[in-house]
Amino acid sequence: MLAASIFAIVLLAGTSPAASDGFVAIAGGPFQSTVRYDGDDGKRSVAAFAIASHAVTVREFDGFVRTHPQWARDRVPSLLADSGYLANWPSADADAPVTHVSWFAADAYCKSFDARLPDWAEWEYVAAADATRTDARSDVAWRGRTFQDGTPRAMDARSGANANFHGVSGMHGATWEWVGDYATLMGDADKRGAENGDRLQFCGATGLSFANRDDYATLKRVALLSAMEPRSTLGNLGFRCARSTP
Amino acid sequence: MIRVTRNLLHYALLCALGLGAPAAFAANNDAAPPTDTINAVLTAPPMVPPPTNRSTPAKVTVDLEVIEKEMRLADGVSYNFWTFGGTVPGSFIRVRKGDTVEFTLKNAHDSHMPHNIDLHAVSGQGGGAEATFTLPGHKTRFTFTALNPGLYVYHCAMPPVGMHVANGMYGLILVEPPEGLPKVDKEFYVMQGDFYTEGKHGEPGLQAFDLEKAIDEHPTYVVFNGSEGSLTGDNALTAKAGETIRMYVGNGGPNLVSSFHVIGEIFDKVYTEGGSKYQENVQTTLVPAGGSAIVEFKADVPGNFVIVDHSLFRTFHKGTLGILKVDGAKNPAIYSGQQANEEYPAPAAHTGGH
Repeated sequence: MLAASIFAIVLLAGTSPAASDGFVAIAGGPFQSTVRYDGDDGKRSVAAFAIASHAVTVREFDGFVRTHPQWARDRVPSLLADSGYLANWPSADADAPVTHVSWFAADAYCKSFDARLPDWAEWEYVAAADATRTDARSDVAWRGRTFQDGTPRAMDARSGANANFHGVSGMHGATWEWVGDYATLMGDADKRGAENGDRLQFCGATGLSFANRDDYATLKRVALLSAMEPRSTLGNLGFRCARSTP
Repeated sequence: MIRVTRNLLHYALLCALGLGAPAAFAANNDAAPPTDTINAVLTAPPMVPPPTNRSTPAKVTVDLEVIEKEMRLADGVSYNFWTFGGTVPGSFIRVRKGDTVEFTLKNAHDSHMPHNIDLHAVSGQGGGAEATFTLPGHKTRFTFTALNPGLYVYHCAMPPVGMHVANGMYGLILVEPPEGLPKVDKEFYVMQGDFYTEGKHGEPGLQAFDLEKAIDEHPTYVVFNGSEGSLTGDNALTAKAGETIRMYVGNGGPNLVSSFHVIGEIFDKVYTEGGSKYQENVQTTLVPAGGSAIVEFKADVPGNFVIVDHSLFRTFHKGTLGILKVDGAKNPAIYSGQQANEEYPAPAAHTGGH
């Protein structure tokens, strides 16, 4: 009963002005991704979808664990989460983005809400916006601030940071975020791509490379995600959920 | 780490005074069976670990931790450095040719992203970068044999590589030749690097990395050992007149080449680019980005000898300035000091007009 009421509170806590269930509708459209696959030009067409207005918080994830006790720290199989899983509990700030969660756990959380993790292209599309523009990436000053992503100095880690153009908050926060298809970002462990001398290429099976060599925030984010296994957890890696538009 | 460093400083001083030769190192001169495992002594700049003093190769373990931390870049100016071992440049590593080096790279739990290490002393893919792709809170390990003697740069090679290096992720590893290096009285670790901050030079506060300045190769700071003043004032290097001095000089870059010079000294020997052959009687030596040089000279006379990158606007406007303070008795036979300062007659005024 207690668990059920917490569950209800979790749902309410997700409410934002933009959408009653905490998700914001994204119209989508053509998008120039920084990430190129197999030598493509990085041009994507992002279909309409919805994304959570904020990253999943510790309180929200706690509610999930109470209703899905197989995801409790002392019960989760090591195949699905490494030893760092929820290692910061119970001292974690309940309103802060949840961290120390594996891809498996994040995926299970979203599915429990009839949602999913956003794809990289969807995440990148939403993250390209600042408060007034859908794509602020050519603004050198703004782009420079994104280099602090994943650190306490990140622009969206400040209290009172504004939501972006889409009404989505925390895309450039102190925590990185899992994406559903993060495994496509994997390349060789040494990203300098010695094989063909292209120093920016993430060579290897996916032939990943970068369409915009100045987008260091994305280079860093991809370097991080590509190092992860789906069971890995980090103290500054959380997630948010998304939904396809029917 | 700091305590270790101070102990080493103490040790180095003892050695310099001829009081050293501890049993641990003396023992290694003997049989040194190959199963012996030695934990490499790591030092923070400007200190250098003691010579290996070994006549045979050994298995050496190196344990280095990546630490991201805010530190002073100049007076009133701080920067979020990414470091090997908590200092810029990173810990000095000293091994011997033929050593089997078991290298463990840790990445601190509070690091914000993965890091790795490419040691130019390694013969193998990526210089170890591939084998040391290390998440925060993780550690990785690989083993290499130090095939080539020399003074080598190591650096992080995680993308974006330039940014990791620009944030201070470099240091030096010395692979001693089998016979060791000739004995000197003092050894120092000096490494140049260029830094790119959003604020102009001297603008106070925590300064963020500026990508545009880095791409344009227009640094706001060019410094020795990670900050302005790292080798001046109370931090000046010290020696006594008559002592022989060896400086292990590196250049982390990421962009600039250094024209390394000590004002008022001539390098008796320069192991050019950190290699095995030395040039003699050198005034200024080029240290490439991602390269090194070993310079040796005798501090013949007392004085304050200024260590510079002889690309001089860097020295006077961006920070490449250090001091070697040499104490001791003057030697007028080598250098008199000023002997005269007086006026001399102007040329006779032209009195023509005919």
